[in-house]
Amino acid sequence: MGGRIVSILIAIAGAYWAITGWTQHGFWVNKGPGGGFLPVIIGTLTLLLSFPDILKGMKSVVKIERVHIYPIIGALLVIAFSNIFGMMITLGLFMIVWLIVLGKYTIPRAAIIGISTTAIVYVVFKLFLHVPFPTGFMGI
Amino acid sequence: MDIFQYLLQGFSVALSFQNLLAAVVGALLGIFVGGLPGLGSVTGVALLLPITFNMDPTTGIIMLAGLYYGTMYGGSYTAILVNIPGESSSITTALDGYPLAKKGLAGKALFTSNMSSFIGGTIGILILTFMGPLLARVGLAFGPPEIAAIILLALCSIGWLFGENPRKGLVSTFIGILLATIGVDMALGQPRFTFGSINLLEGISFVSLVIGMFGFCQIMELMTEKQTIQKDMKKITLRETFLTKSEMKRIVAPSVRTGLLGSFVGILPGAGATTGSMFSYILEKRVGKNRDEMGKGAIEGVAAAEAGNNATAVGAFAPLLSLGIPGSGTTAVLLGGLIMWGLKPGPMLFQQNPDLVWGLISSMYIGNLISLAASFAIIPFLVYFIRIPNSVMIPIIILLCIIGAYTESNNMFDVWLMIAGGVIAFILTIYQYPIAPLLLSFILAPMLEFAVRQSFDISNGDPAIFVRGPITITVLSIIVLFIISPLIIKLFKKNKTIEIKDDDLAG
Repeated sequence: MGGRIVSILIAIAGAYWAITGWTQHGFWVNKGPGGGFLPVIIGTLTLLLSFPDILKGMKSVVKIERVHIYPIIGALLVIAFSNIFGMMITLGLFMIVWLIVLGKYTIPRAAIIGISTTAIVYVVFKLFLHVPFPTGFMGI
Repeated sequence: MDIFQYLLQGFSVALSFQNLLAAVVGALLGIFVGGLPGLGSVTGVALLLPITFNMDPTTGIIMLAGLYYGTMYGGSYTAILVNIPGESSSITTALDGYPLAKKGLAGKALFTSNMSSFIGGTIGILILTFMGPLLARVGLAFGPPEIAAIILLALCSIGWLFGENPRKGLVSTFIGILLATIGVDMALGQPRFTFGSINLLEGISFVSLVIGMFGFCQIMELMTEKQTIQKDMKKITLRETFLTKSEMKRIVAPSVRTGLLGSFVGILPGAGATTGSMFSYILEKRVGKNRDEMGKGAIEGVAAAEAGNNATAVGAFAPLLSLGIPGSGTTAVLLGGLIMWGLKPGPMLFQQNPDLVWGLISSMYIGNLISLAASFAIIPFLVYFIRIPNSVMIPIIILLCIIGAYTESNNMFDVWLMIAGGVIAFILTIYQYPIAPLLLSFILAPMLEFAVRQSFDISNGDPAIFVRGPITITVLSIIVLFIISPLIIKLFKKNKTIEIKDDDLAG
């Protein structure tokens, strides 16, 4: 069922690109390809090539488990808290929390690994390359 | 003066203390920058450019050139060790490099990468030395229709060559092309498929997409992998990373042929090291002896990708120096630097500034050797990285993915894109859609669209322009052969089976 949904989504994307390309961007404009030229051709081909999988369905080679979602949640939390605590502190906290909760590390070990990794990132990207990371209320 | 005398003169310039130091610093910085996800050669050269303004132009350009090809070495490290290409040109390196690392052969993959980078780079430098100006003129014969035909050939190839199922490979290729059309249409100034987002007006950031689809997707896969530390990696030494005689033999031929191809791709306008490494990988996948193993962890795959991208990086200097036309994004930044130093790249540069041109070319021989030595020296430290357990490695890679995506344009939107890319790649991967064609077509699609439009502009809308020149006719014939050959082979095999069955029945 999941495979069929993926194929349908691919087909919808192809159809959307083809239809929008044709109706809004133009296939052929002023004796040359318009903005919709490539989207119409490729969108149509994508739509056609996704049909066999819609009809037959596909089997996944990996079973999706709850753990697969953890990195997504982690990254989203980093985005959410970066503007509050600053990106460097958030990344450090993320490392420490991840190591304690999922890695089963002791708090001191997790703190050493988390702080040292973040310190390397800070030196390379912030001090050496001057990347303007979100600083948060603490200004770090 | 003949070329050898010019070269000797160049070596006398390049071997001066300050120029040698510039080459060393440039190469080392390049290896470092290349290894950092999110920072490519363009960013590296752009960051170093202001520092070189106070230097002598020859010293400055030697340092920048060193950084450029140094990034080609460094870009492969993270691609091999953690499946995050440090440089976009290392996508193809990751295809075989990471599976090799998973088999416990990270050291050999790194050795292959360094060795083939050196071979490819040396071929590129030799070609630049002896045939640079001539090749640059050949490159000019490739106008928009020829470039469009070549890109079309590449697009047809990548879908068929990657993964088990060619149809899924093609779907993946097409998704990449569709994603590439997001953003403002540069020819008409019209936003396309931006869904009202200001952040998407510039299109999807390629770096974020690569980091997401390779690195972040990899993390999601690693979450369920229990066995991680390769037992035989624990005591690995530099000696153990060396290739055996037979392994060296296996990488020489791919490195040489892709070095030659990469040098040629380098002279084509607009084609950078990513295109070079991709064409090289495709060539090896078509003609290589071990082509069936490529994509599963073959040293030939790493060799082809790395020799190709280094040769392309050097090849791109030919049109820059002889014609003043940048062959890649990085050489476009270098062109800006040359102009700011008051130099005029073009045919007169060789006559008016021989010290600069030949000093630069000679410094490439030295810089290539320095990069090779430095790369070998850091292999033991790099291999140590793979011994880090998954429980620590996963948050480190997530951190690198976030930093790499953010650094691309200092915008949190790119981090969102990276996560989205990772999720999409994970879903596509578990349904056996290969990811590499998607990323490679994403790079090529804008070039194709641009070349097709230019061709129609030149011909006033007449499609016959694509069958007028000998180059386009040849390339289009290859495309037709390429598409119909699997059908012919299938038909041939079917007839043979029927004949055998008939013989069996008669017997």
